[in-house]
Amino acid sequence: MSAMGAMTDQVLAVPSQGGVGVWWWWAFIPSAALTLLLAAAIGWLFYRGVGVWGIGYPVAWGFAIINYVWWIGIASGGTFISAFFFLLRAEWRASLSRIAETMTLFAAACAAIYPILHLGRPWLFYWLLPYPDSMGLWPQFRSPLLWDFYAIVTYVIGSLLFWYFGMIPDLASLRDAARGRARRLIFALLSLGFRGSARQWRDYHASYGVLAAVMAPLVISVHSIVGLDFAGGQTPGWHSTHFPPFFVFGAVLSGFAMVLLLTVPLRRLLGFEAYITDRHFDVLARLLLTSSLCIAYAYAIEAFFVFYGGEAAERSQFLGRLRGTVYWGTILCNVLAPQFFWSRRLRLRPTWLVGVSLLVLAGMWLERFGIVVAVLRHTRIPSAWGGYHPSFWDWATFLGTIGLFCMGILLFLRFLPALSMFETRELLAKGRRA
Amino acid sequence: MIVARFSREGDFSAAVRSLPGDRIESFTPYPVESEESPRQPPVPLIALAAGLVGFAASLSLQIYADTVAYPLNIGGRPLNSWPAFIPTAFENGMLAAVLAGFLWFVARMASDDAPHVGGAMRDGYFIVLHPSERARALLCEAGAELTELPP
Repeated sequence: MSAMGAMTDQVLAVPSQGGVGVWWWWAFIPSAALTLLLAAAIGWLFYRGVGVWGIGYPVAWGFAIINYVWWIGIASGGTFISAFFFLLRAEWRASLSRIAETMTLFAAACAAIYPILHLGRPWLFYWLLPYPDSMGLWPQFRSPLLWDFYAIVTYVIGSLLFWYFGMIPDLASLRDAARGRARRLIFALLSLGFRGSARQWRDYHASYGVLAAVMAPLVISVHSIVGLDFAGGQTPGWHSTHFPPFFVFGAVLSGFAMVLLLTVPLRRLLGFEAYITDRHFDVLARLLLTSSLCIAYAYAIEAFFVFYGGEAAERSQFLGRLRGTVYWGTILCNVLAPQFFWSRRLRLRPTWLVGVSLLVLAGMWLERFGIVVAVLRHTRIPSAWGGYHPSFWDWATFLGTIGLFCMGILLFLRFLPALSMFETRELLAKGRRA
Repeated sequence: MIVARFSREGDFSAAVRSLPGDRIESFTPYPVESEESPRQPPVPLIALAAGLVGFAASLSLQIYADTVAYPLNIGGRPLNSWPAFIPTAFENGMLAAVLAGFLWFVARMASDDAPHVGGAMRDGYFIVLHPSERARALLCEAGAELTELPP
């Protein structure tokens, strides 16, 4: 049998015949339990209102915004790998793109839940859309918070279409391998009748290029606008022009960390050693290191602006953060931990990759905790300084979205091809020609 | 119709070059670049146009809302504060471009009547062509497996 045929059969074995390992159930059951916890937390929130969270005065933005920024940052990883490196013709992206894009889709979905939840009156979220309403009101188009709504809507729709579009030829393979009329019909519809003719490939390739060319600047704009959500406020610690690139760097760092965290175990569990190789880990670890250096630069600029600007409230706020553990935890996880990857030996060690990725994800969460809580707690007027204690329902919602994310990834692995088969075929053919 | 199956890309490409006239369509498990370069699909221009229209429509709506429909005097600042409208207009334009690129492909697929050749989405390279003795001889020589399809 040809290498291409063997690869196709291996990738299709799980979605078309079932046969996932026991590990799948061991991962699925806790994820589903956490998703149920999320449902309960949302139900209770809708019943009682945002008072069930730990927010209040002066910290009115708590876990909802921290977790929103954390998830949307993680989502960037898949778009970077799929769209940027497609435009750069980096052939190593082929075996990572599907897992990375799926990661993006579910991370963006988890992120999109939070702004709705934190509205207070979530059933009125449609007021954010401009429509000719009987009150004669319009949305405040000058507010970064409204820009953010459009950015997120565009990013979620774009990520979904990009993910689906990249899968169309593989859905056609799934249709051809399907047993049973119903399954064949479903995949025939999903693959839009794709047959691999020269004309279809030409159209497909051209459209995919367009989608990639749109997604690449889109991901930068989304994280810049998330940064502007903060920079638009007059709050010391937020009101700074370096926020948009700072947020892009942080997003990319956490995105690459999550891609590593998923691919290291999945490569072994799915038996993809032949397609996801040491070369891929090496590239991802280098990208992690590069984005860590970018974020180190952003932290340095943040500190520089505080003292260069010379405003007393900014200085007092920043010095207050320096006395806490959150700031130094952020530096340790995001700046120092990835420096191990200067060593090629460590870049190829799965335990180090997983360990550093976990530290980076924790560090990026701490960074957002610092930006949201440490800043709001310590504003201009000392009499308004206060504290913040997340409640049980804050933690339940946060853990619940982690469960939702894992459950989404697991369902994807069970029902859809986890490797971009047509791009891998191209690589296999190129390898044979060379 | 004759369906010729090749198991190597090289044999397939050589056969495509040797019988340009009688070919109906070819099927491959991944995009294979052919030397003949037909017209490039117009989708980049369509997406660009949709993006520009989306951007312009969004910008106009925001200017209308903030100057005509709901003017709000904020410390005497200009009502048409267009720089603040750019991010939303950009996002809306991008959404229009993504949707246009996607829908163009869906429309192209809807108007496609290519025959279904089993195996093209796994590991086979196929040429479908009108039966003729010359084609049969050429394909056999090139190492293809031939099957006949009812027209």
